[in-house]
Amino acid sequence: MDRLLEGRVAVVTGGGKGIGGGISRALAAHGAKVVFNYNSNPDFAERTVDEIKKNGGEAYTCPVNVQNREQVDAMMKKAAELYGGIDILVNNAAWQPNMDIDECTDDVYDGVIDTNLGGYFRCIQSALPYLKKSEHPRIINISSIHGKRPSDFDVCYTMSKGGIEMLTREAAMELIQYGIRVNALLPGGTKIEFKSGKTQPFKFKRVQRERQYGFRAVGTPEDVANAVIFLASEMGSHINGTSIRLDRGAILF
Amino acid sequence: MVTERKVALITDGSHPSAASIAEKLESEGIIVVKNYPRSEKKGPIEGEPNSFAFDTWSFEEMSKLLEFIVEKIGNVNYLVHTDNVVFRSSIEEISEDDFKRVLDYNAKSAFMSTKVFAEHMAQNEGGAIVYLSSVHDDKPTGCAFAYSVSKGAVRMLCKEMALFYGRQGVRANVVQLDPVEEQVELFDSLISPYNYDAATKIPLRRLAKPEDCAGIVSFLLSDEASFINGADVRVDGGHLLYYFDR
Repeated sequence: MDRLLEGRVAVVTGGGKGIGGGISRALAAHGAKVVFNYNSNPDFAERTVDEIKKNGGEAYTCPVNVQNREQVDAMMKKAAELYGGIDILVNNAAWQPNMDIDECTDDVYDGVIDTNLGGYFRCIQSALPYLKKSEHPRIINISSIHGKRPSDFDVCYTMSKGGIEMLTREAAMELIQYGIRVNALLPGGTKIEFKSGKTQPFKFKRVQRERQYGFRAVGTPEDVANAVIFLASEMGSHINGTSIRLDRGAILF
Repeated sequence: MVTERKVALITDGSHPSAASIAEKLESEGIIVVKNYPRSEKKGPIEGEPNSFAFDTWSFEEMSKLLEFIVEKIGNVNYLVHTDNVVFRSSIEEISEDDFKRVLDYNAKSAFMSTKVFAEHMAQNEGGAIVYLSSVHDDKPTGCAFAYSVSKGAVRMLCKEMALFYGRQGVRANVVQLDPVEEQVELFDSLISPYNYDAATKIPLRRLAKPEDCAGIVSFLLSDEASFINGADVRVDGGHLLYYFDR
């Protein structure tokens, strides 16, 4: 396999497990040194670091709440100190409580918006001084298909993803003066090993008639990671301010 | 119920378009209640009938506003969300506090006013919501980063509400208004030429006026629009066709 990101340094928020874990492993496999945080679960994060190291890669993990500016700043500084700078920021850490508007409290609203939108904003601002010095700077925002289509089970989550759509466009427009490309990826349903305990199961309100796709409509973290590698590599250098659906076209059915 | 007439709430009466929307709705026999968030003194505004001052991004204050309206006027049938605060600041420069403030003023206000008033409408005779938003929920501004982020969130809130409350007899739609004459300067950008020479670029040869959205807001609230739900209606004279579109 060609290693497309040899020597680059990547920061992945929530990069220890789920989609983020797949992204961290893929970045490392392509030669990037990876720094990622965990918020709730050190076991998954440490396991991912071990796995990357076992395969000859470099990775570092630390506990950071993306709602906390000082902790985010410290993570970026640490990444730069350890590996000499930051080239790629993957904003991925998110909270999906699966609550309808009638059950969603003030605290849940604030938590979701401040993690999913505020966290992305904070990490971009904090990584900016390092990204400006990079020769191949990239910001990749992991959003969701629900940035385009309502979920019908999680109002704040969908609002935050609608915000990420515009955050991506504004940032792309503003930061291209520094050569920084900013794009969003919109995964559809993705199979992951573990979801945070703050998530409740979704309640479908539609009469369910099983959609017969005739193909694998549910993605894997690797499917998302492939798109991250593409955008982060030289092949993605002419792509800016767009959002790419990763759902095999399931949204069309 | 105190009144037989329909009642509409405009969440921010200081929006440039609020007066013309109120006038249009009143001409159709609707009682219009105006709210003024960010006022120091909370409660009914003395000397101004049907005017209140409550913070739209607070669940408690929106609940109090609902109580006042139901007691003094009657059940609410329509919600027009007009909270629209523009802070000129780039992603590089904006402070943590300002980012949060813009999101609260524009997006959380939409969420909390919907949470209180859509639920009330659903429990009574149904109703309709219009989120008076901006073309900048689609086209980045290049000068007011947090503003378009907040409007992007409102765009998706509307779509969720069209599903969730649509089933309960409350429709929700978005009106995307181009920056109006008096606001064009607010959106002046060093990196985006969107507003440069806009009056010449817009095929209709003029800038948007605050009253340009009154007709569509009134239509979307009315029974004539009873099958319109979750839609975005752009009111920009064709301006956005030069730029971002989807």
